[in-house]
Amino acid sequence: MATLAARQGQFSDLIFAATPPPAAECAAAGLRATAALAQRVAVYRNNVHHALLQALRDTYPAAQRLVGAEFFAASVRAYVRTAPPTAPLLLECAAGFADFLRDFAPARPLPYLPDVARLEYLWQQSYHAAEADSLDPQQLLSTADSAQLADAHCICHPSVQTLHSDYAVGSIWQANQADVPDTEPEQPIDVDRPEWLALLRTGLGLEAQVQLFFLDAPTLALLNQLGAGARLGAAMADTLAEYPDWDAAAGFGFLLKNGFFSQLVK
Amino acid sequence: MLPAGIGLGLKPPHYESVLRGGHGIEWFEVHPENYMDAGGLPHRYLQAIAADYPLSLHGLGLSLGSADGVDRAHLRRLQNLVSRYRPAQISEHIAWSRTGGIFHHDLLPLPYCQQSLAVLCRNVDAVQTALGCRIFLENPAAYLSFADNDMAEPEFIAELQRRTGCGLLLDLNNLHVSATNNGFDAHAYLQAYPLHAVGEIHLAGHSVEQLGTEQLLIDDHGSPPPEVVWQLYADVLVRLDHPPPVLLEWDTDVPPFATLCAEAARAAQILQHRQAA
Repeated sequence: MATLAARQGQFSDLIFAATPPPAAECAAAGLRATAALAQRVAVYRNNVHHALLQALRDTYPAAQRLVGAEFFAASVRAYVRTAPPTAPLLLECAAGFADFLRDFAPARPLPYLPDVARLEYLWQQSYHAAEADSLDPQQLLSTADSAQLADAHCICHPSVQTLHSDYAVGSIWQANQADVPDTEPEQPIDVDRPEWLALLRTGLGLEAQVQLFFLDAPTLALLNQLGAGARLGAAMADTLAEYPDWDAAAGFGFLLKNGFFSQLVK
Repeated sequence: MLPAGIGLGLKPPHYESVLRGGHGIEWFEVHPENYMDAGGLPHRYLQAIAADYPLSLHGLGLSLGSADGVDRAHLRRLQNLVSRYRPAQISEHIAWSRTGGIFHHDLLPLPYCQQSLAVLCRNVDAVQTALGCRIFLENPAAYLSFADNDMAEPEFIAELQRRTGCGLLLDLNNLHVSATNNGFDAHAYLQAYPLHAVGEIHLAGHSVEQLGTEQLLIDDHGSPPPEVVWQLYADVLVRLDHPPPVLLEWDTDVPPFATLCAEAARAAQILQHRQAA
């Protein structure tokens, strides 16, 4: 008799076979040869595939709207063949979809699609991030002088996510939300315009929403440096060296005022 | 312990209705896999609901029948959730989902043989030791069986229960679905099944797929329990000394909260009738 590990491996092969396995193949995997055996195995195949398809639809609604349900389902089938699910958490199984789309030839006519998917995945990360209070700007300015501030680490709120794209994916994403009618916009989006984006979850108690912020390149650079652990003074200086015309006080002030930081560590 | 009354699966569209109260539902079930992120709105609601109602954590991800053993990372996530919400009961399935590093997002069937039994018992022991409590295991809804089974499902479950001391979650829709699909008698099954260990009952609906001359029942939880499931429930209650907590499951095409409560009221009525007898 085959070991249980071997049986489970055989069953897995039936589930992920590219075409539905015929009854003889199912019986060879140790299954009782009953009527309609292939269709019985197909129920499990459908369940597994449907769970993944639904998870990707839930994670990437705007990407699906851009390509249509049929194209989306076909890309998910190809994605699952390239990257079979390894995690019991469906969101983790959806994580590699943006990278997959980048290399998926049929999606090439929509070069911005991978970054739209990336933004949607970051949205999920932001939505489910750990809780933390945002730093109160007044309190910050009253407890630290400028020398102390320059030396401090500004810890980003756990829900902060950032994305720089060569395409206008923040605008495309907004135009493809479920509550936006699916008609031609009055002002067509110039898709080949870069955008510097940040996500932050705001709202207390039983209210919470993930907000999308359109930043400029230097402010996003500062936020990324601070997120990577740089001290505020050094991060500002680095950013100013790259963008000499940047209004550093306004950029930092915008992030602080909107609650991007949860802690100041001196 | 869960109260010996009616529970519902907690769905995000119903969070507000649940918190408003006045619905007569005594406890709520959640899938731990849906709450394994750090924070955000789902956790804020769950905290508010857990303050008012006992919770049951009904897992889908432990893959207790895997020859590869228990996924330690997933078990740690479950432990964290247990310490965060202190559920009244924890349950999982007699099934497997993971092999060779691939996680199949479905509850896949086990052959009923000594080897499966040994694997399942070892994994259940590991989980019960890690969590420091008994877990409740649910009989599967099956669409096929294995050629080399050397015991029937109720004997397999009785032996699992005897060896691990686990509790049992008797899903009556699963029983009816498996009995129909695999050609056995649900009442004979219940004669051999260790009813004394049942600490929870599940009621749900299924759909019917016509395959040529064969009918295959699909456990889709997308409709109210059919009469045959209600009848099984009444029959089982007569045979139990203490009526256990009962859950009404409805997971696809989830109806408005009021519809779920109306179905739940029917279960509550049967339960009260039994308690009065």
